[in-house]
Amino acid sequence: MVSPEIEQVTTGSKGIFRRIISRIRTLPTGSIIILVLVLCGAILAPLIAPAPPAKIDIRHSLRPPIWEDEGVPGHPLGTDDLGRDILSRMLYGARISLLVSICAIAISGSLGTLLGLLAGYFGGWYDSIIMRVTDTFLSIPFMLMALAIVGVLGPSLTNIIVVLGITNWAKYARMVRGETLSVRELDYVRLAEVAGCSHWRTSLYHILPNVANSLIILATLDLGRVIIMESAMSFLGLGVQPPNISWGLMVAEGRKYLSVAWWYVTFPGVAIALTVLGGNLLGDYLRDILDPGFRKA
Amino acid sequence: MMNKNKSILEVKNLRTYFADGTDTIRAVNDVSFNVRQGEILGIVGESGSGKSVTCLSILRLVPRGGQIVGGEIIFDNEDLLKKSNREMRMYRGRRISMILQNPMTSLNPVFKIGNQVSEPLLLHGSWNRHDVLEKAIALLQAVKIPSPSMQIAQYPHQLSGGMRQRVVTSIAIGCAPDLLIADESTTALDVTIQAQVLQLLKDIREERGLSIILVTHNLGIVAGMCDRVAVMYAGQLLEIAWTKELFSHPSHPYTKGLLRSVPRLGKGRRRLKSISGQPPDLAHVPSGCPFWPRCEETLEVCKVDCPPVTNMGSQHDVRCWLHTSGDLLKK
Amino acid sequence: MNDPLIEARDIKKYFPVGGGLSFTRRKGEVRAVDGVSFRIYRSKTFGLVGESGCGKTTTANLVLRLERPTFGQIDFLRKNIGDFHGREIKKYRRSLQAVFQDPFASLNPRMRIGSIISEPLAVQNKQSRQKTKNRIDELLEIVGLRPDYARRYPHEFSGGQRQRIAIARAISTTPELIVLDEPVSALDVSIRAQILNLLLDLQQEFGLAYMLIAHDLAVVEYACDTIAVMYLGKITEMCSGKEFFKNPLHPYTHTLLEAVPIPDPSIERKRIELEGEPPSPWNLPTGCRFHPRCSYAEEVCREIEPLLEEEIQGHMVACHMVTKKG
Repeated sequence: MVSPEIEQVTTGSKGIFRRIISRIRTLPTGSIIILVLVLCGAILAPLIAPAPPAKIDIRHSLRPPIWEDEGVPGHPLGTDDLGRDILSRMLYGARISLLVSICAIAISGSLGTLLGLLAGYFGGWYDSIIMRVTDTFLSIPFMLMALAIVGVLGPSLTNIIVVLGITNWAKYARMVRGETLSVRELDYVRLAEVAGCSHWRTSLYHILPNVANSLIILATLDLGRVIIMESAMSFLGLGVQPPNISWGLMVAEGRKYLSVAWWYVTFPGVAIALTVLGGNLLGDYLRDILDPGFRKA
Repeated sequence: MMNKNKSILEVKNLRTYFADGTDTIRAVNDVSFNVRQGEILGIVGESGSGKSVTCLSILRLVPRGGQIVGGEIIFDNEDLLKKSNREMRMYRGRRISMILQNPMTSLNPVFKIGNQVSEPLLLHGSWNRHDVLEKAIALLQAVKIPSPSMQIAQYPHQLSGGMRQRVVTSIAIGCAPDLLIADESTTALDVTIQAQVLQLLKDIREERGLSIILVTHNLGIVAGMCDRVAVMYAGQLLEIAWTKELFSHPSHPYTKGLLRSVPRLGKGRRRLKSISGQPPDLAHVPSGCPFWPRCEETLEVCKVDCPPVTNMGSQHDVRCWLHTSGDLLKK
Repeated sequence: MNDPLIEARDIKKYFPVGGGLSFTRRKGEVRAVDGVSFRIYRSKTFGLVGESGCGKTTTANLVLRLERPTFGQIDFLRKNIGDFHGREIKKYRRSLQAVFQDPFASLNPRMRIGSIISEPLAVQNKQSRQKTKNRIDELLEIVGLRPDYARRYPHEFSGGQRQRIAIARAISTTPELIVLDEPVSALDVSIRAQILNLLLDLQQEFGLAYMLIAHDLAVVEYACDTIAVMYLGKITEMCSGKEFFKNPLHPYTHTLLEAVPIPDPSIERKRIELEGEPPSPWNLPTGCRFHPRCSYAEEVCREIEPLLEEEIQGHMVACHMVTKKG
């Protein structure tokens, strides 16, 4: 046998423990709290909503939040014009908003990643064609595309997810292509080819995991943007339709009563803002910790 | 003219530490040496030895996260560690200069060569914008760049690695400094170009009486260029001696190990004797002498206490329990 | 069996340059490798030496079939690798592995060591989990690492250790030839000897052939049976390791040997007289490519390109001045 010169690895279990502790210390507690609250609210809506969201109660229409003079005990954040509880509608609305955003991001992320990988890995004609298409999509204003698609297909929950997914993939493709181009030149990818890996295996095992970091960060930052786009579309009547509830829709409906019932617009608006903020903060944090330069080798 | 015995730089008990979360990294841990007028001092070490941080400490350019926590750096009878940043700017580029390893990133890609060579001259000297170009051309000539009057209009990307390193050298010697620090400045160059650049440094030393600190990991360069050599490991200076003495009578086991493990031209295929193990993670340096886990001549005391500096003869110092006198060992 | 494992037959690799890509108006091609022939035999080490731009890395890529030659061919056991399809390529990949220079870029940071080492095997054929695990443990032990390292990630290891991991991966399929592209130049000095010794031990133990690319002539002398020097895409001298250091013939070889720093202060070095730098690959000199920097150059060197000829038995040189004398 070859006589080995045994070496010691200097990081042991002690080192890992220390690293976990210092990571926990720098967690973005604010954003995590916000996002957890939103998630819990959405999931537990049936359990914690003070009243059924669709229950109409004309006697208590446009009541202010509970801490004001004319507030009603059963409606902590007030009611809308039909007497429906604002808080309950927000909780159920969270479900739709989150569902739509996450599905839309999943669609645009997958589509964009696939095309970006193809373009970056194979180059040549694939690259040229895919990039021209990407550039085209990037240059058409979102609203225009949304209007056109919804105009043809009609507004529905599925359609809005489709619209948000299809109009948003281009930036993922561009980012994934860029990263693929740089990862592709690295030694370990060349060595994978030397070892006999097929294109499929190389892309899946070697390139994709190393592109995943940036993908996650982009998706997290996108959460906020997609929620706003959904809200905007619902606001314009192109998105979520009654009887479905979404925060954007609530803002649209509440706009009419802004001068007499500030809570109708404000609370869903604040919910949108906080969720977007939470998403952005989380994305920034992920960008910092996932950056290999940040980690101590 | 050149007083070969006068020290222009004396580093005494220098300590530069970095903070890494809960760990302290002792990048430079009680290092002392001096550089005499007109001499080339080599500092040899591997990654983590602290040689680069030592050089940056001399210029008070320690990277963020690090701090010089102790010691003295005496240059021309003044302690540089007591100077303010404003006062240090008078030294940098003018009295002490530095060349770095990577010729690609040492020059600003958006400025012409002429501008970059002129910059220190304008900062420190009394030239005005009109005369300075002539001086720049003269400097480029001094570093043997062909057609210097044409080169001043070029951009860095139009020059090769070797040419860039020469330009960088000319910037460094522009204000006639007393001390030049070359940190691995030929590592990225081809061997024939490296030989030219090293020859250039030697010529400049002869012509201008410049002192040079040459930081490298290449023992061949040390043998051919340096008057004296210091060997660093894990932040400490283990041995310092005249070059000939170090190569013929190395005292420290690390030095001995290094010399044995380097392949030499002309020695054929006799098996190399390597040093087992690897340089330590600076956040977890072993207690006592940092080299003991890899040392073949370890004593019990080596694992516990850091050895003091012992003088072995003319200008030959070593930090090793093997060479410490008997009564110190009995402690 | 005296058949060469690899035979390169007058291979040329030209890269097209110009058009919309480069900012220079020059169009045409870069002749990275311009007519190179050599043989690599079983269990022997073939060294390729040269400075940046000489074409040694491109040559390695051609041997590894990562690129196709523009002209000429490379034979593996007398069969043209350019003609390989499907199964033959797979077999080639089993027989040829590589270790590259940068230990920090050679390992996928998102894969565990065990998966990295066993990948070449996994690509060849499906193996049972237990068999794979046994093989991984075996390989780690051969290169001097502990078996429990298989679960760790690359960033937990030092440069020298990573290079050992890369070597373990390279020998996993029991290849016949390993291409080593500057395997120790990015490592600390005290680690280089360890890795070099490991490589030589493995060669003895497994009968491996090596194609060693290095710029450190001392490393090359230490490890190689045959040495070829490349300059601007051509081989200028090719001979046995012993001959290279005892009796170098080509002026460029002399230049290289004189420029190498020797760790022995008692040896007086000649003052370096070589001026100038390698010309740009677009503006190749006429005749002998080295003539602008050669102190022996004469009229014929400027006009006619010298051919690589056998000057002494087993010692080939491409130089008019040498063949004239002989």
